[in-house]
Amino acid sequence: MLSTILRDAPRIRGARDLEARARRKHADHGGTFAQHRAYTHGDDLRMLDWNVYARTGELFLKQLEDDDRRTATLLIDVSPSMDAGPPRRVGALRLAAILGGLALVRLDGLRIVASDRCVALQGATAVERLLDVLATLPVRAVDPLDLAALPLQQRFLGRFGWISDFAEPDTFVTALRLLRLHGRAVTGWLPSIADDQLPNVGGVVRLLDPETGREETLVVDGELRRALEDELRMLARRQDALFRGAGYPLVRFPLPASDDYRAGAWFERRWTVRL
Amino acid sequence: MNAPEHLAWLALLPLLWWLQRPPRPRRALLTAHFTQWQRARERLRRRPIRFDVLRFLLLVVAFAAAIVAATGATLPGRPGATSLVVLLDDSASLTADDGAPWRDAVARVRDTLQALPPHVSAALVRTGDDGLTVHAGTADELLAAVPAAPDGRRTLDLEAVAARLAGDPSADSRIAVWTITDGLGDAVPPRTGALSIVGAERHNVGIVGIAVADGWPLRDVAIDVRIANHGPARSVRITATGGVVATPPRELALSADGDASLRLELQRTDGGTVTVALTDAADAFPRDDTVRIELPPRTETNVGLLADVEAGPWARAAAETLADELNGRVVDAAERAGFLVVDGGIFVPPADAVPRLTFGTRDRQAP
Repeated sequence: MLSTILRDAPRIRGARDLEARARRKHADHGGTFAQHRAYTHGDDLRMLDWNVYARTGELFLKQLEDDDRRTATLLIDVSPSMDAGPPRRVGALRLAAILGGLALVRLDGLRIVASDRCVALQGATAVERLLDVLATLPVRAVDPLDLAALPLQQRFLGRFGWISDFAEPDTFVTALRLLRLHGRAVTGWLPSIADDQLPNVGGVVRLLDPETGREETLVVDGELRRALEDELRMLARRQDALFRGAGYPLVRFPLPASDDYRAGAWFERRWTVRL
Repeated sequence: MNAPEHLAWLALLPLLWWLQRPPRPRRALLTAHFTQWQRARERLRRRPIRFDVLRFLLLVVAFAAAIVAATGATLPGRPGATSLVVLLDDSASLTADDGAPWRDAVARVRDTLQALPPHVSAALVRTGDDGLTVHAGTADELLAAVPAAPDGRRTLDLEAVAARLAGDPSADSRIAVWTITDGLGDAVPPRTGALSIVGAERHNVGIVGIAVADGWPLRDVAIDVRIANHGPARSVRITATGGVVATPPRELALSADGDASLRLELQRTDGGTVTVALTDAADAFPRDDTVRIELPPRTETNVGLLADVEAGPWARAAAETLADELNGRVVDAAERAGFLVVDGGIFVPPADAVPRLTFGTRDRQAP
């Protein structure tokens, strides 16, 4: 499915100009020097600044302004809450694979930030490695502020995409404020699942919190379902307010069924990919 | 334990535990919206279903207690008292309300003595005018010692008597003290042993203090009466009769549980016994409503004058003034007089000497 999407990607609105820009970049490596950045595994060795290496003995990359604009960074939430209910995590990883694959094919570079890992990928040939990286991401609770601080420490530029369930919006406020303070443009991607509206359960139900391990047994009836529906609507409003307050867009991405591998199912809305 | 076979019911305890378990959840839901579930539940003021350990323990305790009760289990008894001392308050206040409290007390004593086990000895202690009176013997002998109607005025403290009769509480005393009283006369009821209070609540008003200002040999007599009221506010009538000129009854208003004083200005007639009485129809204890006072008899109206030659005129002036007060006259010592005014000289009083007022006179006893 991913190969179909990547092949059809030029037809996606908004991708053609990115492709042209990437082609120009391959033709000419020139540009305005922006900053040095420490080398990470997967970086293009052609961008190493050997003069700095001769002086300091450490590997640094020259970053050009155009180069930064043609790079995308994906922050992926791998907390246990992403594993809860219907597989939001699987959908989130598929979404990360599509967005990351498009960045590799049409742009100059991709960085994956998840948990405490930072992986840099470059070129269309790195798609297979991207899938390997996504497949081996651990399940670990990470504070959003720590996750946001990691690419800033690595001095990653370009656009940021943050894939998460934003289950506790209050914990993301400081992280988004930090990214805004450092001038990063962020797009929030929230893979939506049916449970975000109303879970289809009834009777005596045992609820488990994947983050804390707490559990409760409740009798779920119509009255409780209506009250939960109100709470979930309130959560959605808080998530929208979180990104609206930071000045960033939030994309609610309705996940196709877990066994639906049709490429059209992922792009039926013809949304614009902005990376 | 009379029926130990009932202990088999304890085997049902596991069934209680099984019935007490909460319903098993049909489904476990791993949710990212646990907080929203909790808030929705709290909005509806519901509690999560859980096994209530405390409720189960209470159920087990109640179930076990019911089974133990069904087996008839009892604790071994301890040896009780071998002597019963009945401390009977036979003060006159028990005769109030036509003697109903006294009859009730006697009936209780009779019933208790007749129901005593044979190994328990009994004694009856009465508190009366003569202090403690102790009677011992059989039930019939003790009942025979109970007076038909008490008329004593108890001065002993029932608590002190009961404590002395009970003996040393630290020792293994086998003496049980049972006090029967109407609760009147003691600031606090006795705490030692058993206590029975007979009779209903009664209100009392009575004379608690008398002060006499006697103007003898003049006729004026002033009596200060202090009255205490133990009951609701009321109005009483005070009269003084006998030995004084009759006067109309005086009304006195008394506040609830309060004291009041009244002064009676009287004129002596012949002296003797004066009865000050309080009248109140609602008074349950009339024995403290009357007080008797002895006034000296009125003297002869003649005032005798004995003055030697050197006496001045003032003795005669005093005698004439006194005689004028008594509506009499001044007579010589040879005549009979009710009062003598003696000035100077040596006076040898005769055997039937009348009261006298002397000035500078030396008394000498008759040989």
